Amino acid sequence: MRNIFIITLIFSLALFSACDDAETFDVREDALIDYKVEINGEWSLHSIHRNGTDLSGHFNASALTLSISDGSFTLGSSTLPFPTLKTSGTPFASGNWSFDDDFKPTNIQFTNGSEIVPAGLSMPLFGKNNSSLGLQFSLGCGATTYVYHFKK
Amino acid sequence: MFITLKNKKMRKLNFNYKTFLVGFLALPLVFLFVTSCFDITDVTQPASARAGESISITVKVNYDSEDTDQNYRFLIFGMLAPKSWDLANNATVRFDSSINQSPDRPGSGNMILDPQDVSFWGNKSRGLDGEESGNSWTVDMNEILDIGENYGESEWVAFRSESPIDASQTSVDGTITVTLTVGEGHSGAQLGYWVGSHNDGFKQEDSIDSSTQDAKSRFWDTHFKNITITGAGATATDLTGPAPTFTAFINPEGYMFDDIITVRFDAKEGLDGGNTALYNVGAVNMNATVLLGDGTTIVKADRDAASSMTLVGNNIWEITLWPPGYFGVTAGNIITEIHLSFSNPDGSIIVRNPGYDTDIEFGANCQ
Repeated sequence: MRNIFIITLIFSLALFSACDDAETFDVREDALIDYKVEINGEWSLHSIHRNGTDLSGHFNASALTLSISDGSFTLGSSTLPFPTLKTSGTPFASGNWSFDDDFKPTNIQFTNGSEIVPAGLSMPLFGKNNSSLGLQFSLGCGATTYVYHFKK
Repeated sequence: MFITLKNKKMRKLNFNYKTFLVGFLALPLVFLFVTSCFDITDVTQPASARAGESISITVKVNYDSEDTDQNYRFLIFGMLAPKSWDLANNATVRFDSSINQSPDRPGSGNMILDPQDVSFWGNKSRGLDGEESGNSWTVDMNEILDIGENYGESEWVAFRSESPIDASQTSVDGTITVTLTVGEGHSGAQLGYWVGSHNDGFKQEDSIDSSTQDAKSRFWDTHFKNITITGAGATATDLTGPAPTFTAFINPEGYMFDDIITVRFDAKEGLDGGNTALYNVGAVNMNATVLLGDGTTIVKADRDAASSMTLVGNNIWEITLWPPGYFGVTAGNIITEIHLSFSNPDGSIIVRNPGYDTDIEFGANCQ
């Protein structure tokens, strides 16, 4: 009887001490609540990667700006590569855009009404206050992929 | 003593004279009874074929035993083709003739790929001296025979009649038929054919006058013929042209002209392994002409700052650009080809495609 009491006491202490080690985290409010992702603003190209190789130094990347407002976009240059400027289709430097999912988007698509150009999102977006925008796409050959990193 | 010696000397002289005379008179008879000859009289081969297409080639051969005993002779056949065609696994060969002297040693039948097992008597190649070389037929073909007008990347593949043939005391026109699948990788090549027998192999002796093409021996014959290959891929090379150099190439490996491309120029990659004229210069510019879908061209050869290349290695220069923006291609048009040359900043030294002296041409390469 005495042994049973001692064993029960040991297990109880072990359980209580485990509870004492619980940690706490700070979590952004918008990570818990579904906000509609918002990317409006002026974006400047920060880096260009082709198949993982950084090509940023070969271009005046900051000259490629992407102006996004509710549902529409405008490129600041048409001489720097961007998926909507492919000559194999009808190139366009402005038009409309939309996410595949307004709350948890994985793709964005640009359109001028007749052409639809999709691009993947290479980094997750928050509901608000996004400062980075990553686009992943192919320009010509599907075997070659590009990742553009825009910053505000 | 003196007389004896003289007589001995005279006797020796008389003996040599007779031997020489008998030998001289018998010489044609010796050839008559120990030689036989092969002559390729014609090759029927498509002038053009598409990569992946199955084609049939007929090699016409005149054989003359020259009234000698030529029993138990294996027929040996060799074909030269681009290595990428993998003849050993993609070709079937048979021979046909009117020889029918012995059913178990027939004058027609299939030919097998050279087994390269030189422990078997029929597989033992004989070299230029007519002696067994210790090699297989395939090995000796590639060591002894040239590869025609091809710059390289070609190989001889040997085939042997399945059974020995009784071709004694006969003169006959026969055919060797090759069926193969045309491979990719080359837009043009010169195919080659060799025919002989196991007992003489590559033994050299003057060819007969009626031989049709560059025969080097009466015991065997060769024939070469060009073929054009369509649909062989964007990177296909013409084996009958100058060997390709690596003077310039484009990264990434898969690209279209809407891609960002990196043009690399290696000043060490000139003709025949030599350096180009831009070796060790201080600066290099890219001169480019693009062909557009509407048939027009845009030239950028003014050696401006935008065309200046960056030194990235030992005499290796690069420039990275987005072609539509670099050349100012207007909406509705596309680039179909880019033609490149390289120069120093004042344009006094220009490097083009070594061996051709034309611009180095690139088309889209996306597979």
